[in-house]
Amino acid sequence: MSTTFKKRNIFLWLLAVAFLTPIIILFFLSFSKNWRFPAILPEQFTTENWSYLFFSSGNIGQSFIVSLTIALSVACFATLLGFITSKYIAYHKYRKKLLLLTYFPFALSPVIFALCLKFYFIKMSLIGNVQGIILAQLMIAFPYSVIFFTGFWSQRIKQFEDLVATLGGTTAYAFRKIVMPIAKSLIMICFFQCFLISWFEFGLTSVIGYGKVETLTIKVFQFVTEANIFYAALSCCLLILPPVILLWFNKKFIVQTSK
Amino acid sequence: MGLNTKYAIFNTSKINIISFLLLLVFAILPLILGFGFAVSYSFGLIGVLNKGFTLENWSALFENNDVIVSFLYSGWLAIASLTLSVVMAMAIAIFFHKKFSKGIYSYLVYMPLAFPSIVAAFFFAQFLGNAGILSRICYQLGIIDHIQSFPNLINDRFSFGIIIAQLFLSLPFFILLYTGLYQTERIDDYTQLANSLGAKNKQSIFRISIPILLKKSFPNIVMYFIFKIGTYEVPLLLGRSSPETISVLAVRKLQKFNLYDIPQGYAIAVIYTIFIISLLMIVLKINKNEYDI
Amino acid sequence: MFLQINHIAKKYKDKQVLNDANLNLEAHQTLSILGKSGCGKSTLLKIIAGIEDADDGEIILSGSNISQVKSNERNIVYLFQEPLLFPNLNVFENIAFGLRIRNLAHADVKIKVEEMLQSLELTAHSQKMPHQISGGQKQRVAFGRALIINPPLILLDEPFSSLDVETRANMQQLYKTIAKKFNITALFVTHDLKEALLMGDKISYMEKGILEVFDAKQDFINADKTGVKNEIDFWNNL
Repeated sequence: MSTTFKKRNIFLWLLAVAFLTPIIILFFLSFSKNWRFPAILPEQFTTENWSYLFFSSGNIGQSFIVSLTIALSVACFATLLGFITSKYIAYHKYRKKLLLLTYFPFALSPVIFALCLKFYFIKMSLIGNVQGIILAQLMIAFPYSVIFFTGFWSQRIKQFEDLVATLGGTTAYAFRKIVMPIAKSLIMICFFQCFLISWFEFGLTSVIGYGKVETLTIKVFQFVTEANIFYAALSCCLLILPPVILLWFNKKFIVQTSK
Repeated sequence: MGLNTKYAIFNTSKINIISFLLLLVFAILPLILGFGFAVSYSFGLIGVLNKGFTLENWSALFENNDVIVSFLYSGWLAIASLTLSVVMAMAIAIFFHKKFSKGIYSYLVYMPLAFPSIVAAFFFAQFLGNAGILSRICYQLGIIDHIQSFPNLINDRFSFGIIIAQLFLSLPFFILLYTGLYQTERIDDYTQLANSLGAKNKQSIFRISIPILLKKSFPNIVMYFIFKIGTYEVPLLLGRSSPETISVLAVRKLQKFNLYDIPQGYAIAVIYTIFIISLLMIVLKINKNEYDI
Repeated sequence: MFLQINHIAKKYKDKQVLNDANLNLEAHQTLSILGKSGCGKSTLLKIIAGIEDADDGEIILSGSNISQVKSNERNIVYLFQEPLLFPNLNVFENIAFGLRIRNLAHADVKIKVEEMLQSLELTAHSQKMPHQISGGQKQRVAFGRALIINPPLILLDEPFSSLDVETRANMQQLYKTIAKKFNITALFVTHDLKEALLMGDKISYMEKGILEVFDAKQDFINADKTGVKNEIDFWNNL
């Protein structure tokens, strides 16, 4: 019995190693300078890369801010608007058909979707700027948010609204005093998940950004094509930093499940 | 009952109009406009080189096998990584479900979820590449004596690198799914019941646990398949120039400067969209009650 | 006549849920409505409360036709089967809810709620959250929340069906006491024969959307379809 126990545990340990190693390696790489074959460890460890981030007029720091701004905006709008619209859908006669429609943009590959809409973005002067990217990413995050919240407007919540009505309160009062407090934690989860949808986005951003808006993901790609793996690793570390922090607070923040 | 309620006022209120407009602007309109644009362009009705309605772009598409191969390749990649993820995750759930409900493993499993596709692609390029970490370890251990002796694990014929990267990204999701389902579907209770009826462990697993888990997770698997077909960043960095996945192929045709390729690129986008929407409708028809995420 | 329901009809999808429902209720009386599940009793109550629309018919309360009045203006309280307490408010605030909507001064709210808590024997639990109290206690809170605003009419939809036998008996006793004390006018829906006989001053029977009101309890007992005779025979033949 104990040998099978050990064998099984080894498998788990291997899994743990497999999940942790990438982060550790990326972290190491971001502190390195020279890494010629066949050395396993880099020849030089330095904090130069990270100081480049902070002290030069350097692009990585700027990209971090740009990505953060875009992601926070997308998260705010998508969560708020999605919450309101999901109620409309949940109580609608054609609930199922509307939900089907909402699923479509979310299921498509963002980069292909962006390419089909590029013409319109050019016409509206939303190409190559932050506003355009926020709008484009909203077309992915907003449907997600709507679908996320549709499960919330269940029979139970409707009963609460009816209850408040028979006690003399208006729909707005019910919304303020009862529905919003109950929905609080769900709203937080949706906010962070929309944040991550935007934070991780690459293809769509590169199409609509037209090379002028440089988010962190685009920076990673740039450094890879320049074969500058140390700056790429640094950008990667910055990219995974917010999700890891969010994970520390609440595991649910970073899981996007779809049924 | 209860949805046909006294909400006559509700139905015309400002909030409802706003909600409808939001849905239109952000969800419905982009789809119609984008699809319409792609269709028109592919039939030559609009575009830089448009000459009016023509089928030549579509026939050019099917002249060589590029497109069909691309679809099959994308499908194969998705199925390969999906199968590996499902099998591994189910095994983990069946044998280790307790470890993942709390404690260190329940946090570790979330680690890969903090990785965007492009970071995962970059990492595995550094790990599996010829000059990468695995190669260096092999050299130090004396397994290879030359940088060229290390086998091609990325940009290779079997798409090994792509599949491993996709596995890394999707495994946590399925582990969470199956460990969760294990609890909610009370698989423990059912296997105990089966054992009391004389079944051995192996039989319980194959006759009870796996069928229940598969049945309940089927919509999730199909949805995941739909998402993975359109994968872009990982094949972009870890794939070869041929075959390409659908997204990579479409982007190449649409972004490069060969203007004759652009209508074809939009035709590919049209085929892809129809394919995805059809799959989606099938999934959501089967899964009538559960529409939420 | 305090409450008059005339020719209420309601169809849902293809099923005629309510078919020409009529009833009269005098003030300060409780009318029991006995019926099996799915016979339309909840729908009737919801229509009276205003949270569902009837296809036909009218509702007259104290002489005025309230059929088109919004539910939050009818002053008719509907008590759900499951005691639906607001999960984000404690017992005190749940009971105070209706008073706070009516913008009562905080000091007045405190007095009224504490009085109600005493009548319901819930004073010790006033700061607890809903998930911390039992089913019977929740139902008492739901009562208190409804009664404290002194509604002219209360609609109870199988309020005790989710409770165990002993708690149910206690709650039935409590209802009778409170109904007298607060001079309640109510419609009490149940699928339990004994409960219908106990709770109501007058009894009615609903089957397949058709409501029959009995003028005297003896008529109800004598009627075959209500099942009282079968019960008596059963106990006698033991």
